[in-house]
Amino acid sequence: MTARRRLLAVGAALKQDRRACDRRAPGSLKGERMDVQVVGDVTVVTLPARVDTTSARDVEAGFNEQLDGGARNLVADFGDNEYVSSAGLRVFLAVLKFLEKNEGRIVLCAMQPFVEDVFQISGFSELFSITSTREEAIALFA
Amino acid sequence: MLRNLSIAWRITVLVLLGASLVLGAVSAYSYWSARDFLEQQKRAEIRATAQATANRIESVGRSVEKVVQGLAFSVEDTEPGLRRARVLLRHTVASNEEVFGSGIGYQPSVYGRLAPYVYQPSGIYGSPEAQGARPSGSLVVTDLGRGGRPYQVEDWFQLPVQMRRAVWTEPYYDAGGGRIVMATYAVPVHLGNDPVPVSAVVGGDVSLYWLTRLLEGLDLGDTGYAFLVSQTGAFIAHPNPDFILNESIFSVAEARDDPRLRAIGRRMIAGKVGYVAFDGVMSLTPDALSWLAYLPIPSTGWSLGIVYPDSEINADVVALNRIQWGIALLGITALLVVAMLIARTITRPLRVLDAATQALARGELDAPLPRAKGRDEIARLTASFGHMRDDLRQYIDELRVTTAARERIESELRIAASIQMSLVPRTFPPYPRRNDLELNALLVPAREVGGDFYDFFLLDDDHLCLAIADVSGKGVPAALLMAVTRSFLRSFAREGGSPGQILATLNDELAADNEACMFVTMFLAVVDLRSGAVRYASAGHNRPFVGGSASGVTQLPRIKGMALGARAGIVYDEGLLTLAPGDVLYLYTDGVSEAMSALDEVYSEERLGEDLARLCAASCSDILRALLVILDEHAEGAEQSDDITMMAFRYLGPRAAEDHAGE
Repeated sequence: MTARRRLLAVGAALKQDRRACDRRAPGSLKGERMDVQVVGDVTVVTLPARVDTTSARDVEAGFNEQLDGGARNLVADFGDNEYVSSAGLRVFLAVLKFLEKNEGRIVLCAMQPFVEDVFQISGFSELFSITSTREEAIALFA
Repeated sequence: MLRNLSIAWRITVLVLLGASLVLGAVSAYSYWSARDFLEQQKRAEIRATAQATANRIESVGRSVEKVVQGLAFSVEDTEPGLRRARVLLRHTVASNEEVFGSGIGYQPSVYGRLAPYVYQPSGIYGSPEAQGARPSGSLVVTDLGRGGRPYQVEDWFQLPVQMRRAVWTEPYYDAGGGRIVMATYAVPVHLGNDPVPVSAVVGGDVSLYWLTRLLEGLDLGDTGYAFLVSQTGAFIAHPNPDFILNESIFSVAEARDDPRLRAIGRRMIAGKVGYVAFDGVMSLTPDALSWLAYLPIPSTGWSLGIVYPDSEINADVVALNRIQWGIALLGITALLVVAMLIARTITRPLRVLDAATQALARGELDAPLPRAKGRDEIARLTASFGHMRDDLRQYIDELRVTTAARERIESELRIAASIQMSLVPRTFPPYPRRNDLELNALLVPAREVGGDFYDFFLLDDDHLCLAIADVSGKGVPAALLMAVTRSFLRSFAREGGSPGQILATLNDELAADNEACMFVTMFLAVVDLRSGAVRYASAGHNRPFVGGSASGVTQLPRIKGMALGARAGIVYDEGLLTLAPGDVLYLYTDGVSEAMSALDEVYSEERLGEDLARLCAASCSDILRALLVILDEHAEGAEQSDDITMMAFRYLGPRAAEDHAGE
């Protein structure tokens, strides 16, 4: 699995589509961290504008950092997010699986219609708890 | 010019130039001051020599005067007879060597014409002719009036008689007595009751030959000389013997029309002291500048002149100068060597560095750089070069690694693409002998393979299975998962079961050990070719369109079903649809609906539906080709980021019998 991921990462890094780079949200630039807030025992991660093949790696690294740090109650805030690709969905699936094994939960919130569609179509909306606001999401952990 | 030289030479030349300037200035200053000093010294020396010589001559004159006066006093006082007078003369000459000869000239009224004279021809003040002719110290006694010689008319007798006082005569050649050139000090004497005021004249002679020798003996360099002029300016002593008594300073001045010489002569006979430039015709070396020092000899009224050529005065200075320049030249030569050594020492590390960097430039990155000692500029430069070399080496290594990685990736991409393309059926029409269906599909892989695929196969004579799928992720992993999924699909589908059951089995298979959390969205349909009835199920896939000439284009309703591989044990709902003959079922992946334009505009399902509505009357292959053109126009040159996959199926109605037979 690690080898596969590394391959993916290298492939993404080598991708020369400049447009893809330009499309990245400011927070998703390589090396930059996603905005993370801790509210009580809930860790709220704000996602970048796009979670596509290129930025999925950084998003996954950002989540892994929180998971490695012991965060188990996660809220993914899609307020700034406009696009999630299948590579992005894979990241959420991976986070979900990890948390299920480790007695944690992830709640997605504040999705825009297009993004919600992606979750709907893929059927992933059945796997995740999804709320319309961040406050509701945090309240689910109370 | 300097720019073309090496730094070592430049340093050498500049140091040498600077040092030469300083050395030259010091040399010039010391030369001028030494020259001045030496000149002063030489002049003082000449003056001193002149003074000493004048004093010497003066003292001889004075002693002769004293001797003669003493003799005169004795003659006047004792009135000796002739015999006695001769004894007195002998005694006087014998005991005074500076007196060449001495005599007494009597008035004829005293003893008749009688003038006893004694001289010492071989004395040190004697004449050259007499030297060695007679034994030293021998005296000659003679009578100046012998043979009737008119001594009374000679100066030495006439002047004291007329002037009634002691006088020095002008120098003259004494033909009657000593036969040399001499000057005589003559004193008038009055004897007893003699009626005339001057009874006799007592005289003492000084040899001018001795004077000449004295002057010749002076150390005046190679070309310097001394001369003596009398009260009238006549030459008494001169290196040129023809001048003596024959020429005077004025006659020479006259002959050469030299007023300056005349002026000098006047000052000399006036008893003046002087030091003048003497560059004229008078000099023995006429062209060269000389200096004349002159001063009087008071007793005789003569004047001594010493001529000294300027070149001789400067000879010492020139010698000193020569030595100095020699030393300077030696010093500069030594400096050249030292400067070169220093310069080479300074630039040696530079040259070594130069060689090293040239090796570096040839690509010999392992060529050793010189070890940087100390903290000077060269050491820092060397260190910088070292860093640059290391960076360069690291960069090249990295580049090599990245290039290798890129090549590997590229080859993996090619592998992924070839896997993908080899797994989808690409022969159209697929069932040329069937007249109940029309089918076309295409897959345009993105540069980085996305893992899309489509598939279709007959389950039996009357049932066609259609599938389109999108594997999450890209590249080889996606291609591999796609291959696995396709194999599973084909085998599970042939085992029978509805689309929902097939997807559920597929899902459970893929979800097992799916650590990478990869998933596949898939739309699966089984068409009953006899009736046009379609059973379908969707695993999180985009909703296909269905269109017919009569009913227009609609998107299939949303049905429950999660992407394959996300979680085991999922139930997939099924949908039912009946196609009228001529209806088209259009399947696609998100590479179509989410195709991006250069302005980041998504093509969208809405536009896809609209475009299909216009196209659905066309043949399947035309529909797909037209959509591809539309997508291409939409992209406006933007690179295709995901695989574009679509499939169009048209149900043509139940199979005709003859076709059936023909299969």
